[in-house]
Amino acid sequence: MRLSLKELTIVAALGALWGSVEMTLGSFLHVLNIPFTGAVLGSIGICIALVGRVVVPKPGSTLSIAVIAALLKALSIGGVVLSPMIAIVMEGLLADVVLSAGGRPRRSTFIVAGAVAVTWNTLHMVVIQGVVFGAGIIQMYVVMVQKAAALFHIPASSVVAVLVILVVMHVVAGSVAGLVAWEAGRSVVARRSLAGLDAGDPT
Amino acid sequence: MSDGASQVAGHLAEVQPGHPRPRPIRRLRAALAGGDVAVVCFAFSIAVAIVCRGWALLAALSLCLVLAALVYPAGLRMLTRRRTWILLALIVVSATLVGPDPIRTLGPFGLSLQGAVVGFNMVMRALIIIVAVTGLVSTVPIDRIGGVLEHVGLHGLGFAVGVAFNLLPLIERSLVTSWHAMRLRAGLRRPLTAARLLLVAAVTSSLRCADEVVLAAEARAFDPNARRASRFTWRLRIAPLALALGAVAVVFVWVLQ
Repeated sequence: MRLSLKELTIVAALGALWGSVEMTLGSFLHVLNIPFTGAVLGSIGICIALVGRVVVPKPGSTLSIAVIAALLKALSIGGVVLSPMIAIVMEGLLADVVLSAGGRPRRSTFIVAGAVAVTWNTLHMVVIQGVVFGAGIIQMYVVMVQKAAALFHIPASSVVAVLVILVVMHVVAGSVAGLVAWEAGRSVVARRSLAGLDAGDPT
Repeated sequence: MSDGASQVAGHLAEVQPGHPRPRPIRRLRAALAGGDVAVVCFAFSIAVAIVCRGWALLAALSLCLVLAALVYPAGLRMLTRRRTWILLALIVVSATLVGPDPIRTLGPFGLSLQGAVVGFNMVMRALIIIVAVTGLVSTVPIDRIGGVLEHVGLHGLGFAVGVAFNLLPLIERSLVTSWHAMRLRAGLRRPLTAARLLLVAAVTSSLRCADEVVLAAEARAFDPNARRASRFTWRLRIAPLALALGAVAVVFVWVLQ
């Protein structure tokens, strides 16, 4: 993938935007221990990256935005950043794969891409933290389910229901992010076209 | 004055009998001139800041400050600013107040020893990162920093990271301005519409910053994919330092942590 100077700079600016959201809002939410921080930040971040895909409609642009945001996240002072960095890159990668497989940019593709990317957050703790940081995957799985059950005041035995609720919430958040990104991206492209600035295809 | 003439003039100025520079300082400056030593020290600092905890982090902070004093002393300038220390103190205080298992409660807050420890860890980590980033940026030009990433085959990514790093303050400012403008116009009543409008405003202002960078770069006929004269070069003699710092990082993680 070779991007032109203009495309690279747009990717850099949007990566910086995602990175600044992660560094400011992300640190704030993590310090306050607000539940579903990953879903909130992931939705905002993937929204920015998907807008970037509308403006720079080339395979790899979403992933590049995510990689830049992850590199900037390394400069955050809000605790451990290795795990969020991996999560950011994975979200960008998944969204890019879905969009590239979907062919021509469409509203439905963006919604699916957003949903898949944000849903990664439900698996991220189990897969990445369990494997990379050494704890057993099943043990981590149990911890996540217990936390969610305590939050919703549901008995821990109804594991399946909790998991389904978690996944559905992430899917909905990601779909909304994809939809907002599609609409916002088209608005941005239309504005830039009106201003005489060359940008992606607004269709 | 031509390049050759300026080199001769520089050489003559260096060997003036009235101001001879000590040989070790000249050697150290020659070793640091390429920027690769600074990049290796920066990479070490960021790596230990990410992986170390507790006592290992304290040892890493000490070593990173020593490295900064030797390799990029400009990085230590941030530590003389009162604002830096106020920010770090706020981190410790807030972590102590909102931490788990408080030993004493003060209204809605508590004094948590665990929170204080976490706060000090964050401060040590922040100090390492602040000194390393400031030092690297003030010692090595940003195009050479980008050259490090391009050196490993990521064409254009180095340039993009450099641009993103420089755009961060501008974008943060425009993000805050957009948020306040929307809040003052009661734009938060419909959350979904507000989110879309805020996103459009933030993205548009980011792209405006990007357009300015593109104009400046095009005016200089800059090509991010071209092989540039300022391309980063690794010298072979950097290998022992990199290996030694890698070994130190392993010791920090496996022995001290």
